[in-house]
Amino acid sequence: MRVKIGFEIHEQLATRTKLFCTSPADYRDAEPNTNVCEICLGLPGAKPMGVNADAVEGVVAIALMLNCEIVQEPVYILRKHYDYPDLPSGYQRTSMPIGRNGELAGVKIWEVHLEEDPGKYDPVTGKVDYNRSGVPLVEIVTAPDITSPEEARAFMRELVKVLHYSGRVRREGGTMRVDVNVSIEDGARVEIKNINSIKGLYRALKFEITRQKNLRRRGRAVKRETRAYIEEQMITRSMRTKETAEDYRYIPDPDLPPLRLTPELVERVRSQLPEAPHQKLQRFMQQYRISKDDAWAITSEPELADAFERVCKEVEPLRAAAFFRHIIKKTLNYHNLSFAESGITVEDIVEVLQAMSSGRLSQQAGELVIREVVQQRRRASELVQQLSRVDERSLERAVEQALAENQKAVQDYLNGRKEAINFLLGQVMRITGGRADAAKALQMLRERLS
Amino acid sequence: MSRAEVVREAERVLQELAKHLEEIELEETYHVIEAEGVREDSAPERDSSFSEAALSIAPRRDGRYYVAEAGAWV
Amino acid sequence: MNELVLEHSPLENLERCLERIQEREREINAFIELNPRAEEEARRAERHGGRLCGLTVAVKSNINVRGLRATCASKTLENYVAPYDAVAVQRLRSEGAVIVGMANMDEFACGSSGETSYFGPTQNPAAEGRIPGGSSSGSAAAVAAGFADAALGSDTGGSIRNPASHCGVVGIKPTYGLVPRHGLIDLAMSLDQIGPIARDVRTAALLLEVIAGRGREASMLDVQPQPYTRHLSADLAGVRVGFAREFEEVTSPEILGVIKRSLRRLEAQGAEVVEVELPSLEKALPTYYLIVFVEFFSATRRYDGRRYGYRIEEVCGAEVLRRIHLGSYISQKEYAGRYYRRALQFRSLIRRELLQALEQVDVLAAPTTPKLPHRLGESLTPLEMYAYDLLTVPANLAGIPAGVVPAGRVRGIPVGLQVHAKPLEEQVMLNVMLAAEGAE
Repeated sequence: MRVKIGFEIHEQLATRTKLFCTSPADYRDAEPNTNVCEICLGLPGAKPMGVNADAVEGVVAIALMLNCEIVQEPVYILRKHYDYPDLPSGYQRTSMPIGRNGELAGVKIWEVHLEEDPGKYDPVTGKVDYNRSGVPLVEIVTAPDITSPEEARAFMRELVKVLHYSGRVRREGGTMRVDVNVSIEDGARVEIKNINSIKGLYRALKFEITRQKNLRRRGRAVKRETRAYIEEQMITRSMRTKETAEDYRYIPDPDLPPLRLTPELVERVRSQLPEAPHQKLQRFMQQYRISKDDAWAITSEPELADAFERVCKEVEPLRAAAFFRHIIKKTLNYHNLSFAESGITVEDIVEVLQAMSSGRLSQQAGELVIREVVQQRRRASELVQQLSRVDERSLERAVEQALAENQKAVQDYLNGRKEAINFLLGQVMRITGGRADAAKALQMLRERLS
Repeated sequence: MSRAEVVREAERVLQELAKHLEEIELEETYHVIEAEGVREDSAPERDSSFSEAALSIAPRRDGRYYVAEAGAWV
Repeated sequence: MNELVLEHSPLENLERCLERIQEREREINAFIELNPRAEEEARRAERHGGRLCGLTVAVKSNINVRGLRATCASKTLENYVAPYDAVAVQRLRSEGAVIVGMANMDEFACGSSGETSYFGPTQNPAAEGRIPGGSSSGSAAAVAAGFADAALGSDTGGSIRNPASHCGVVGIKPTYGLVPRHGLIDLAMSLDQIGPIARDVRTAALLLEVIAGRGREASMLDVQPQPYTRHLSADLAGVRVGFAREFEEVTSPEILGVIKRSLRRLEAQGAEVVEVELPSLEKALPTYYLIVFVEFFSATRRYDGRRYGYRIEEVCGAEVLRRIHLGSYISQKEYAGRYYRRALQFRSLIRRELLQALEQVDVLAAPTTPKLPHRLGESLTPLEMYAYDLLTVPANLAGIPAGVVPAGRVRGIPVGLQVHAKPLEEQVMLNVMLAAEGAE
């Protein structure tokens, strides 16, 4: 059965102040209801200040990176009326499209808007925190061009990467919200709200498609409705009708003149646009002569790509690329951290790579240093010192010790069980704390046992 | 006058008013002035005496939180 | 001269106002709440001075004054103690004005008579037994009764000018976007303006120059305040005053008589009176009301019971309910085209006609209301009540300034002359008002 999936993606823009007032937009360390003023609390009589220009430019930049046309007519800011406890004034302000007709990874981007975030409401306790109210959001609406949860996941990864590359969205994570619409075989369209991760998106789609297919197999129609994704149970559930407002009664906000995206503004933003991920990928392959897989891994995050370019000033690119893809990326994935969050510096990487190429550091020890940098927040320079290979005399002592302490293995070896030597090598590595050059230790063991 | 009567009468009022407005070909006027309506992003401002005063008039609160209905939306 | 000259010290001046309040407030009901810190403010004014040093001001109850209740004369907001000052209030304070209290009004400014307040109707101090007009009923009544030297009102479709006319005081609706609205609780955002009410043109002009000028809100004109009082002049040599024939068709003859006499007075001071045309005048009222319904509906969505204690639809009066209901109805997707957008098209037409008429003249004179204020308690249909606004709504639809100055009386009831000007041409409007002043 043919599946059609489309998205509405919301992500916070990284501005200093909110969209229509000068309250702080970053509420992560703020006590509840302290980043507020009469405007973002929607108090009677409060009027919006001018629209935050940085937020407008952010949306223009993102729209351009998604290959959109920028709208030339006046862009009205609309009031979208609905009743929900997190909306202090009973309407949300959302712009008419700023960008249109874009494309990313084969998926058509219908529209890109600017809007304000509502407050945060906990339906269980009823508590409301308005610190988030009025934070600028970019909203991206795609065509229903996606046909499977796997495709959906791949597209979202690509989109997240572009947003990240734009440098215009919040880097702290956890602020993305996705509404998904799904239909099968031109059946009714079901909207799923409340998805806030790519994993959640994948699971919600898996569940919802199965649900719709089962309904149809049993000869029942899929109802056009809005459903919520319940993260804990990995299911979607029909939402109360009240929450799915029937008619938003959009009107242009009389308190806000329309935005005018002049050709000068658009050109200025365009000229400052960062390199897009796919452009960077191509350039890395050509400039550093690295493989597509290496370049793909390295350009997964702009900070990682920047670090790579700096490292390449000191280290041979092919070696660096292998290290980035196999050691650094692996460590980041294991700890589920972004490069920016990991604490790894360019100096750390150069230190390790140089120690490795001079033979002071084994491949394993190099990986260990990176892991320790992330886990212990220590610097590579001191760790390399500790993990550098033992010198020849210490290695000899370690070999002697291993032989002396494992007479049985020695006898086994001498009796023809050649694999016993691996056990002895393991003992040497144990005694040296992994800092022995394995090849050299093996050679010494063979010599002593011959 | 009951609420229902007000609503019924309101519709008569609407018809009475609307009958004077025939179809015309003109742009709508949403705003009577030309204003730029955009500001530069700036250093954030916070006024704790304001947020306290605002919170203090909330009909229901729990510590630093406003409280709306619970459990009604899930 | 652009400083205020009071006969008394700020404290003495306040005392006199409070005495008059003591005497007559029970009868007039101009205030919803008095400012318990007024004396403290008067003392501060004595120390710090300012252009309005010691001037007592009543503030309409839809304007936020920190620490006082901005109830909008509705049960909906009876417990709303404003946690911030409107920009206009900040500006008054910084020039030494003393806020006497929060003035009564029609509920959420929905009314033209001063009778729809949850806190009871206001009496007209200048015409016993009559309505004071509205919706800035308490503001105009407080000034007329000497409870305050001046007042702040708000005008969406005549709410300053209508009660100013009925109470025999001066009232000004400034150019849209001249005075910051931040802190003014909405009736219809695209039409609302804060403006001054005072006993004479000079004081009103002084208040206006203090509260006018660019604020931080988005929808404002980028202009500096002008020293209106310094350039105030009653010499009308070369000033062209327009008057539309259409005004005569809708105005009662007795009011028209007062207005015509006032025009002759302006001619005597050098003005030339010119006839102009406003063919779509009769469309202004329905246009205005349809826009108000939709914007008011939008503005009231925040009164959902969660933040201010009451859900507006459950506690408001009939007129507020009627407007919310109609706003909700005509902003629906399927009806917006037939009602709301059509009204916005007519707004373009009326605005164009007014601006064209004003191109031929310096100011446009008009009556303020088509009829005299009715007796308090007399029952009017909604449409009869709306008809009071016929001559005041065009200025709001076009965004132009309009002021009202006492022009005479009919059977003892005050009648005000209305003067319109081009956008931001408050100075010539004030000059004409000054020349018309003192007719009584």
